[in-house]
Amino acid sequence: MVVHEPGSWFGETLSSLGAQDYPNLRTLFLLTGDQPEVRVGIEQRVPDAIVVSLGDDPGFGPAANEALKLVEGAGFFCFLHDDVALDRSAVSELVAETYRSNAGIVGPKLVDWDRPDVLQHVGLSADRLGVVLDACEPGEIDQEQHDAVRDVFSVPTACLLVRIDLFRALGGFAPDIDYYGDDLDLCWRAHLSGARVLVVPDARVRHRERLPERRPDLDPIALTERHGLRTSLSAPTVVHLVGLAVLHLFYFLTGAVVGLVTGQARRVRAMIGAGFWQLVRLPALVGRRRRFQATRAVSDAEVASLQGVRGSARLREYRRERAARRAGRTGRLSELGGDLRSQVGGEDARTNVVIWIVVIAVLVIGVRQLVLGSVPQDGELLAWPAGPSVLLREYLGGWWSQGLGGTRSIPSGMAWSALLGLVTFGADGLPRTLLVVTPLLIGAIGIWRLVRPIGSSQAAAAGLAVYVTAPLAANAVGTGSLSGLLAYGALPWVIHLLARIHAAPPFVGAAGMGPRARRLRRADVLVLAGITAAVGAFVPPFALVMLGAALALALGSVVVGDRAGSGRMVVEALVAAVIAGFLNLPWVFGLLPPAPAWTIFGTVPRDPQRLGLGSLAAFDFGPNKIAALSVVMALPLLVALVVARSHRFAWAGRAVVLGTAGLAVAWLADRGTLASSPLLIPLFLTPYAIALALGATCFVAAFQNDVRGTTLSWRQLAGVAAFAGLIIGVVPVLPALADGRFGLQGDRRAALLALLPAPPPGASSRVLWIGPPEQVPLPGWPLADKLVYALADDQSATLRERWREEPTSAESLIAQDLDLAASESTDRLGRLLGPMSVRFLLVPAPVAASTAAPASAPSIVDALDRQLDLRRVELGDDSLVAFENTAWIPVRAVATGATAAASRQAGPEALSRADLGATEPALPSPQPTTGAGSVPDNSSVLLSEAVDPGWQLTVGGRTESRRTAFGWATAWDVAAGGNASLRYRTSPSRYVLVALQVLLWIALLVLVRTWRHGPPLSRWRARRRVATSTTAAVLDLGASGPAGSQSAPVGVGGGASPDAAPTDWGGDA
Amino acid sequence: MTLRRLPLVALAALVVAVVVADRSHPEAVSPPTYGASPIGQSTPALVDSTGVLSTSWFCPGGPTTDGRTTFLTLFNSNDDAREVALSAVTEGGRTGRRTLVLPPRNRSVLSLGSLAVGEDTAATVTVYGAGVAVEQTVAGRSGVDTTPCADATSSTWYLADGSTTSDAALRLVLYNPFPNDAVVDVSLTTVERTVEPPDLQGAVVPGHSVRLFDLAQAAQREQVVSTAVSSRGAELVASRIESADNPSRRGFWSKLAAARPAQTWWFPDGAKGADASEQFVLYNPGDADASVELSFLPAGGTGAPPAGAPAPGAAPTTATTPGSAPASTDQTANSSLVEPVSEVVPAGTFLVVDVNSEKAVANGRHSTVINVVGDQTPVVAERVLTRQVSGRAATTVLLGSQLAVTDWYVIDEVASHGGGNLVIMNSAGLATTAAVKAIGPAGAVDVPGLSSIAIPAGGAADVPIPPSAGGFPLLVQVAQPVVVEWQAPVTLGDNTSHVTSLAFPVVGN
Repeated sequence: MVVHEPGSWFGETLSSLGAQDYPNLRTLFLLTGDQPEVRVGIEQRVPDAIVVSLGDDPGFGPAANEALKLVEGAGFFCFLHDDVALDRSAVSELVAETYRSNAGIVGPKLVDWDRPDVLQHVGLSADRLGVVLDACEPGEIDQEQHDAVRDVFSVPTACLLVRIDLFRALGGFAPDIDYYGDDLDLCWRAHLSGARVLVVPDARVRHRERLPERRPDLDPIALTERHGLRTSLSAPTVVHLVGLAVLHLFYFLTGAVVGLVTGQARRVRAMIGAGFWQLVRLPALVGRRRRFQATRAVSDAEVASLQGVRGSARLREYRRERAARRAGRTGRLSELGGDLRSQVGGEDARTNVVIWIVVIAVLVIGVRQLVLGSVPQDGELLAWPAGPSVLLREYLGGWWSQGLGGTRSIPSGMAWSALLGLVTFGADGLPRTLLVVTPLLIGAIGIWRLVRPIGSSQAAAAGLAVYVTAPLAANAVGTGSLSGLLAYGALPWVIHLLARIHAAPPFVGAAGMGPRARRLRRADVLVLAGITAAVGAFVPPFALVMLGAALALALGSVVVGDRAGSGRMVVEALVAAVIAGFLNLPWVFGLLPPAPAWTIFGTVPRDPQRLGLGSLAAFDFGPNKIAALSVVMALPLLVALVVARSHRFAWAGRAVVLGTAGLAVAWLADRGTLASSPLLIPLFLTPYAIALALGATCFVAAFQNDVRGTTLSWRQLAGVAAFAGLIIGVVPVLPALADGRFGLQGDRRAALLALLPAPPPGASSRVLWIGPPEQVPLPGWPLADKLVYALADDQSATLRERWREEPTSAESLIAQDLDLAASESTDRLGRLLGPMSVRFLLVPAPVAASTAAPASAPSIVDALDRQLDLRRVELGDDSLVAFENTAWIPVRAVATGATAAASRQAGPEALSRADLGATEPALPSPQPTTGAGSVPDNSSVLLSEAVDPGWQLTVGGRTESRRTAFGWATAWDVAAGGNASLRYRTSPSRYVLVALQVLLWIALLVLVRTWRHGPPLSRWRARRRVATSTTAAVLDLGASGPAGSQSAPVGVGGGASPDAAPTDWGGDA
Repeated sequence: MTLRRLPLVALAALVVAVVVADRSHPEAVSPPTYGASPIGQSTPALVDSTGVLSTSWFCPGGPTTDGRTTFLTLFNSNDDAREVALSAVTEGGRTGRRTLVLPPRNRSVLSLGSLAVGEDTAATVTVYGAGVAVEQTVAGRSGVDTTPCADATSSTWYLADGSTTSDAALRLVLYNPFPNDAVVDVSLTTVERTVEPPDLQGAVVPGHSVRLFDLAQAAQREQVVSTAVSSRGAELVASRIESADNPSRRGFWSKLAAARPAQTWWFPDGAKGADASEQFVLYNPGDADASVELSFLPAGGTGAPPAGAPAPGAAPTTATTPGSAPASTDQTANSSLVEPVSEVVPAGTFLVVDVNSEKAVANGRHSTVINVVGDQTPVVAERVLTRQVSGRAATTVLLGSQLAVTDWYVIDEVASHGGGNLVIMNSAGLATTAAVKAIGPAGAVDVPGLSSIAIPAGGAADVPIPPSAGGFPLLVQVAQPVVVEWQAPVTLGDNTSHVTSLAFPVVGN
């Protein structure tokens, strides 16, 4: 018996083993993982048992194979799961029939654990494609109709008796199959070797068969599909393999269509996934086929005659399910639980498919223009900064060229942008499209996973519909709120993870399963940290939103009286936030105090919009103005609050607190109480949208479970009103779909920038934006009178500029220069800004509501108009006033004469007198930290980046001495010209920090994988250890007696701790 | 309903209530004023401030060829030297540059012809620091005139007065000191209509250039023509070069235009009588009629501020003898109150007020305050004053002051050499005293006899500049805001021009 973290039933299992009437039965327990309490329990209940700890969990088949090495002298193996209870004569009957029928493998009649009158398995058939079909129908009552010994193609491994010589000849269970499909694989090889496989109904075994509950990390459908496909491709000869491959292809295509139509989307996904999974493992298939063919004694045709299914087992399965539904047996099936077929979706599958088709249609129609065309620049949806290699080098190099450059920490979002660029093969538009479209789909999937456990498919569909059709997403797209979109996509997953950590019903999951539950919870915390870190790399306040959501859920739990686990959830959310901070090292240092608080939000506070709570509650903050109707979406939540019971009420209560908190924060931001940006309003409203989705789910679930069937009362009337609210609430999405871009029109100023004169060849420059923060298209630094200023590389603002930290001392000079111009203290602003390579000054003006009342340009335009070295550039649009600086210097320039002399001075007094004309672009490069070119004699190389010891210039192989230019920039005086090379030498500490960050991410992924599925290599190692183990036998039945009657440590396992206490398994032991 | 539902229901009800109560109510946000000019007037002024990096003076200039010359007078009021950079450009595109250092408390005179020679040479004087004033003197064939250079550019300029009769010449000078082009529209208002000459619509004044426009070609034989210049693109500077030779108007004028209309204009000098002819040309470029009150303050003072005019203060009345330097401020003022002359200037037109025809105005010298009733219809006001000088009519044209301050500089060399006079106008109801100081290497030194000049309330003092002033720039310091005009005869060949101009007010920044 392979034992893996058993539950309360295990006592009964042990008792049934101890009660067997077969006289020569010896029991060998193979424990996976560290289970000292299990070992003690076994020793107490089955004193003569051999207990072997395998250390890791290699899967059932590989673990069972260990018996080949541990046992000698026996005639049969009877492999058992740890969730079976054998009738007293079960083993005797199996052995007797094996002798009687000269069988190789035999299996008992498996019945349900709780309902022994319901058949579970009486042998299995399989088609040529490896799809298994039960001999009995789902929920079939045992009326002795299958009580005849007969040949079957396969028997489940829950209880499988096999001749040891055959088992050795076959090489045991397939070492590459851990769960699901190992029985089919073994029996198929047995048939190829000419052995018989029988089912012996007189041997009866009760079986829980609830592995999906115990191992939620395993996907039974996907594993069954993969392993079935692998086995079916391993068995036939080459000639038959070709035809089989064609047959598989045909079934993939038809199965996908039929599966979708019949509501078996999960099955279809698993089927297609299995195909790809096998495709990348073709080399392994060759070796596998070799092992299969080595055992071959009969032809494929002969084996096929034994398979028991002519045609498609999948089709017959579907017919059975339909018949079962008609016969009303699905309810019983559902009660039984644990049945694999119920995982497919059952009666809810059609609802699932329909709602998802509708959701995908809504999303596709809604963003069709953004997908087919391009995503215009607006709000936070700025231009893509550069190719992935440039971004990656910039991130690794540690020189942050944003603003006037500096060695400050580069945002982790740049690394993510680089990775996104790599994934999209360096495309410019596709990453932006993905950033807009993907969160919509991911958010929908996330909310589905969140609400699905709470109620039926119809209830989950209501929640999904509310989340997708609420104008939050449409207006987040319409306003270009990248923060809102990312939160929309990520927050449902975050809430789901918090719910799992909380382990509040129905998200109990693996709760109560001891060490495994703890590991799964730890994995959830790490995933939470990973999501928070990834989204927080673009939206720093996301960590605060995550923590706020955890607090709100905890508070809600306290209010609804279900506070168990809520404290743990808050603490672990805090831990996740801290881990997320570490995952964003070293960038997070730039956000910590003494940096101003607004760096968290990425922009200085703006004038409050004062939309009002009513507008916020209706998500009416963007171009989709019919959103007012959406306020009625709150009705289902309110009704659920008063009619729901059980966990539905609890989640409705949590939703109310969560939604209220989100709405309150959004309101404070809207009123200006909370320093924020309008672009963050969607971020704060996302919890509210999730609350509405939860409310809709709870309402429908409550109506189905708590209201329907009761006497007519106000509850039904309230339910009707809430249903009406649901239907009315989705109406606003219809006009929002019309333009195919959710109203995202793009900032017309971005198009105007293309009209600005191009820089000379090889020259790069900067653009200085000045204006109210809501008008400046990128986050700026505070200036005066509620204005901000912002620097952008070249002409168009890119995603790089959306991260904003406190200005450096050099960047603060810009504000001082602007103050001088504004106070009429200079009319040579161009000269002051020239060394900063500011070529254009852009002042956005409010867009006029109508041509009859044109908007007036801000007063700063007057100040710029007064500057003698600024030239107005006519763009033909009042929304943007542009000035060209006639005294600008390229970012990398060679200067001679007066300009070179002027660069040795500092301060605005000197600059205002300086003649900055004698410069030429130099050392061009697309990389921000390198450059090459020729430099003339007796010149100065000027680099308009903040002075830093990392910059190095070599001319003709000589390293030139660096000096400070203009008081803040970098320069080199070159006496003898020649070929020059400019580069930024990255500090080793930067590499260390980046390496640390990468290691942290790898560690996170490995730990998540380990805690969810076991160590990545453990199963491989476990299988390999099992395969190569030379452990001496501990149970030699050919000798004078049992090798030992006490437990003995074997392999990597250790003995039971003296302090370990047996688990209370209950049962009748 | 179980007890545990109550808090949640109450919370939900509270949210609903607030949702209903807090409807959208966006508040009007005042636009930022960052960058707006702190001085809301267009009278050229000397800025006395620290922390100023650079200021520029824009001189539309005049001819520098064919025997005509244009000078710039640069005055440094500071106690330390000032570096200045001059860049000149002619109508033909010639350019010239020069940098020089102005010694402390000193004046430099520079001929624009030494930088670039042309039909009109304009210049920008960039001063690295504050405390410098620049004026230009144009010596034409028929006379000489001096005007402050502009200390700011503007997109609008107005000339209230002008004459295009057969014996007159009127040319508009437009100087664009900026790098980008200016596209200008010029409209001329005559007594009958407003004309927009096609060749003056959308006329381009390229960056760093000066252009001359002969307005007589656009509006011929008009006794009075008002001009409005509107620029798209770059801002610019406008002035006129005008001459006339007829009984009612004789002389040569080169005056800066007004950058913007104003509610109040001050004119320190004026006269009514047989030997004087004074007219005010009031130009209303706006879209609504302007109600204007002209208050004529007898030189001896009224003892009260003019009705409707901004009064810097109120005080007992004093009196002084016109044309003399009063020794005391305790004299009793003329107690007669000024009755303003009310006029209406229709929108888009000008109005000529002939002082001699105003019976309410007493003969003799007076000062004038022109005030617009209400604050929506500012006007531009210029004074055309013809006097008999040496038996010959001499006409001066002066754009009024928009400022009344306590300190004024007279930097013109001719005026301070003696022979000229200062007219100090006090429109307030409080008499005061003025001191005239000569600015020299030793600093500000009182000019003998001018250390305590009584300025009557609501009146003016006409102060002759004695030779003892030594030709130094003069500083007029008064305890309360006044307006100062200087006048001096300038002889050029056979012609003697009577030059008049406002002094430079001193403003802080």
